[in-house]
Amino acid sequence: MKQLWGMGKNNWKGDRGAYWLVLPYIIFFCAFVAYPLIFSLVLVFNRWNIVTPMEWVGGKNFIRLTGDPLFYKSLINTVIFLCIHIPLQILVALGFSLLLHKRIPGRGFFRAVYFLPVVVSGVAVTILWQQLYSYDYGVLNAILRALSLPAVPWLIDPGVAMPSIAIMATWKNVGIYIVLFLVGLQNIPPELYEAASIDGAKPSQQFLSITLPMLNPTMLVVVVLSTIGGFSLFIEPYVLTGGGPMQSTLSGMLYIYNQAFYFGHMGYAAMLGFVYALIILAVVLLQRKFIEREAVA
Amino acid sequence: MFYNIGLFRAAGVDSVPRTYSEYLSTARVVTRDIDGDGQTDVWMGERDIRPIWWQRLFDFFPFYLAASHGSSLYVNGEVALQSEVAEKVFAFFQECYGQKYYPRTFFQGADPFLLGKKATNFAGPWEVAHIHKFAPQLQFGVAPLPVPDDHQGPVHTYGDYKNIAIFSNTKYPREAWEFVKFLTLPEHDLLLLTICDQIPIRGDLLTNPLFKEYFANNPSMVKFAEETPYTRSIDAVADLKEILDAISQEYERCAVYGQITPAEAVKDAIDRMRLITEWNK
Repeated sequence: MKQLWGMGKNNWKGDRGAYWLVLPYIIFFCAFVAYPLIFSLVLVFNRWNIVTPMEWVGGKNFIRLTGDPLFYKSLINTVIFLCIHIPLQILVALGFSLLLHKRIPGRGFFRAVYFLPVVVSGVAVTILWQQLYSYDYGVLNAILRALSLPAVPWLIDPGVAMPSIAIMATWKNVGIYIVLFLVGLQNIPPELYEAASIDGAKPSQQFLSITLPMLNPTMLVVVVLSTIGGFSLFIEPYVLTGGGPMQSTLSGMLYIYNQAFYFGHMGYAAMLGFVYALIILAVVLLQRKFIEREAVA
Repeated sequence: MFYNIGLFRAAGVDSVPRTYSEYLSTARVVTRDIDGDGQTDVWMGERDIRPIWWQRLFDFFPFYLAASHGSSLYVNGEVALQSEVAEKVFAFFQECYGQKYYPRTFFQGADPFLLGKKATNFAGPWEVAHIHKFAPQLQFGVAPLPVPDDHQGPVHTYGDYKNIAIFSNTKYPREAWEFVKFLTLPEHDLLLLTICDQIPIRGDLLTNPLFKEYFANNPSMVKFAEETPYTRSIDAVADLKEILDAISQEYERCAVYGQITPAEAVKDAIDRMRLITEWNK
């Protein structure tokens, strides 16, 4: 055991320099991960508005959560967002990565262009899309009207607002997933395609029988990252809709933010945060199990 | 209420609307598609429709104060929202959106009042300097907020008070009081007016010779000075933001999208206000 962990008396002395090297990260971890985590766990059982002293409320925050219709609404909204966003993200990212994997002119340029929205500020992108989505003066509806098509209430119809945000979020983040799929595609041995071609497999059969199964690990990463990213949905509804129309875009993170920083309910916000973290963990574990089972099958 | 004189004249409107009915009948002629492309070019009004708590300080809450003679939302820690009055305000805005006198559009980065795209705007005295700076050619007037047709008496309005408090446990109450008196000397209130175009809450604004020159040079500010005795702040209650957020969501459902009646919306708002108050006790 001593040998395994390198924690023998002599080794400890010998490796002291290494511990100094990891010390900055340990300090960072304690200050920005461990301490906030423990502090928010304490908050769960307290009422605190930052200004006045904390007040112990026991399980009251949890009782409130179980009877809070806006918590359930925000959870449903987040699930709706994920159901639209993840498949759309995969389809668009996979489609573009398949195109960019081919030797087409200007491939490097397109790779950079598709990644550009990822590095642009989320608020700036959202304000840009606000101009596109505006019902009366938006660019998209101007185009539709010019084509004699009815204008779409992108952000002012409760049934359309969340899909509109999902489209925007896909546009913003697709660059990351294109890169991931490209890496996955480049790791597929070309011999597999050669063998399949010799056996007479059509391109569609090659895609279904080689490309997709071989991309399974990448797919898992994309699904997990999209899920975590989807649960973190905040800037888009915060700037675009404020959670409206009629709470249809009130995401979990926006609701937590409102509770913490608008209403000063730090304890309740911490409770919401913990519950969301557990939900994310459960969903990601389920996804992992499902995708790994598919891969084995 | 600021109004665009040019847009009123262009629509053949000579008088400023004082009541809901007058406002809506003015809206009927002012809201227009000027170039005939099927798109409205001039709206009677426009508000940020996002259900954000502080946005209601620019529509629902001032209109509620105006219609209720400056009543509070809470009295002695209990919900005191007057259902009948709140329903009238919700119904008024429901009509504005339902008849398309107001767009369900969010204008980002541009003030539609300055651009001449909306005829009326609900804002504070800071708007005067804003107009002079960014749209000096704009001809505008200032009037009290519209009220229900059967309203009697003065029209109250909302003011974003910046109150001064002396803590009861301060070691220097006398010195603090002297400092407050110093801050609110007429000469210093004149500085507040001239530098910030903000109205100090004092009774002699229009009678004290010290302020005479300022109001002579800034006639648009006279209306705001006249409103001083009828200006009310928001209730100083805990959980105010959460309460306004709840009102905001009911306002959105009822007034902006017409999904529920004003009576249902006000009932829901009061229920939620009571629940919030109870939860946070």
